[in-house]
Amino acid sequence: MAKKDTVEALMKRGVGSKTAETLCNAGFTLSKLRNASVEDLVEAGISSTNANRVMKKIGKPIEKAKEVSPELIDSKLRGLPLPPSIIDELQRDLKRIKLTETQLDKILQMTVAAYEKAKVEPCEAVGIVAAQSIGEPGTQMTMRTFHYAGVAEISITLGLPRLIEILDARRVPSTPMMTIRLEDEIKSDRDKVRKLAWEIEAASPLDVGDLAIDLAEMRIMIDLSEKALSQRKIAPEEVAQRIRDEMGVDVSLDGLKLIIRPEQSSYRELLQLVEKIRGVTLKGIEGIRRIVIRKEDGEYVLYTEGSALKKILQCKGVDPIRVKTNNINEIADVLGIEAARNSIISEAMETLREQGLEVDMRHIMLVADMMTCDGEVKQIGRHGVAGEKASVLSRAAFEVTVNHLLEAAIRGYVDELSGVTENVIVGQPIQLGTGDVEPVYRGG
Amino acid sequence: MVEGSNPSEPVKLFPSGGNYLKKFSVLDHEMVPEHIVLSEGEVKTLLAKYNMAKGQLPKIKTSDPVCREINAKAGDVVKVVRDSPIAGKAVAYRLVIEG
Repeated sequence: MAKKDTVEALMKRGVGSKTAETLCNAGFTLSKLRNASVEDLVEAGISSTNANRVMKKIGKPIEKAKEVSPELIDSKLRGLPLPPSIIDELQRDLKRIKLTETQLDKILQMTVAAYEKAKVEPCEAVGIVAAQSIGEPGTQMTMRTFHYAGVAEISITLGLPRLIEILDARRVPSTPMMTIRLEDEIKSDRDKVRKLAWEIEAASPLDVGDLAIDLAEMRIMIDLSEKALSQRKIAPEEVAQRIRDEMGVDVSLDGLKLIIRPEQSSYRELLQLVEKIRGVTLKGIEGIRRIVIRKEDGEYVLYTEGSALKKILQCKGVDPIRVKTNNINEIADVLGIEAARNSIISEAMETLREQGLEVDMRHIMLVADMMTCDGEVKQIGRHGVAGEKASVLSRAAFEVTVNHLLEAAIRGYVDELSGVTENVIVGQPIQLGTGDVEPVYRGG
Repeated sequence: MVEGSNPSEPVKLFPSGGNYLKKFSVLDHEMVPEHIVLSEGEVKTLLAKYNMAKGQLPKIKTSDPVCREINAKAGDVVKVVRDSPIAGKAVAYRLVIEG
């Protein structure tokens, strides 16, 4: 009861004599101390370090904050305005460490703030940034079209010419190519795969025999090769019939010799016939000129020169889900515009990557979106995106200047001056960045 | 496709003589994302959220292979859920137009 007792009691517990005295004089008893907080002690005139020490020895044990449960983490993550990939990452990483609720809240708060900061600001000139981001590495690309033994003896267009092909939305690429993967049942069976490849590859009469023109008798002779015929599983009669059907000429067969007599016995007729024979498809899918088989990751993959997506998708033995082609227009026709958009992005990324250049995907995604926004694949040039601009001055500044100006003058077009190019021409601030902000008067 | 008198058994590329259409849905292909037709109410909410008119959306044609499969008519709005390497999943909308 007496102060002395309190001081003694405190000192017994390890509190310094001076500190004990100060505490006593401030009116603290043991029980009061137990329920006090560090701040209270500091107020009473004790340094915070000392106060902490005292509280450790006497005060209530601080409740260790509870660890959060995975369910709590999930429920907090659910409502956040973050993209799925970041939420997934948070889920994985947060569940691996021990956290208190306050810590968790702080982490989530900081993540959201960082995300908001990383977002593109309104009025940012993304188009120009994308153009420059793609154009600058473009100057470092080779202009040569490699006849490149890239993927097993098949040559594909690479580098700048390929990028130009993609952005110009060329109807047919200069080196169409397909990557065909096969169904599970046959994908590891070498013989079955080869069989399928021979079936798909387009064979012309010239692939199975040697052609000779007999001028004396005004006829064409084809010496069929037994080896070639058996390899592709074609019978000589088939060849004869096919040529008969396709070209309506007289064909006679003698063992392995085909004799073709044209209607008109003229030199020109003969030569024309030779060309036509070259184009006859005996077997296989038209357009698929050559097939190369390669083993990758334990399965056999077919690489073709030539592309015929629709027919290949229907072939028995082919895994249609994983068939790839580099013909973007074909993809748009067969698989839809969204697939075409993905194809543009992957083809462009791959072309740049192959040249050793790294461009952030966003820029290419923007270009792909612009090319496919109207439901069809449009080129960037004057028959597409650039040519569809409403502004006369913009189109005139892009290409074929005089035509645009002349037509505009004749028809009395009006240029709204709402875009970048035309405002630069005229000398006014552009509607991008700062220029897109206007003060507004609020009356009253 | 030449079928017929062959010495050894050929691989039938197109069973049933070319009229065979594999049970292949265009949506199954790895490059084709999920397409969903939105209801009238959903369309209204969408347009209100962005304060825009239907015509300002990106377009997709009725002749598009995916539109044909999901029976989207001109005037419908299709929600496309794309796989994005950057964001995981990204949502886009397309207005269906004649074509």
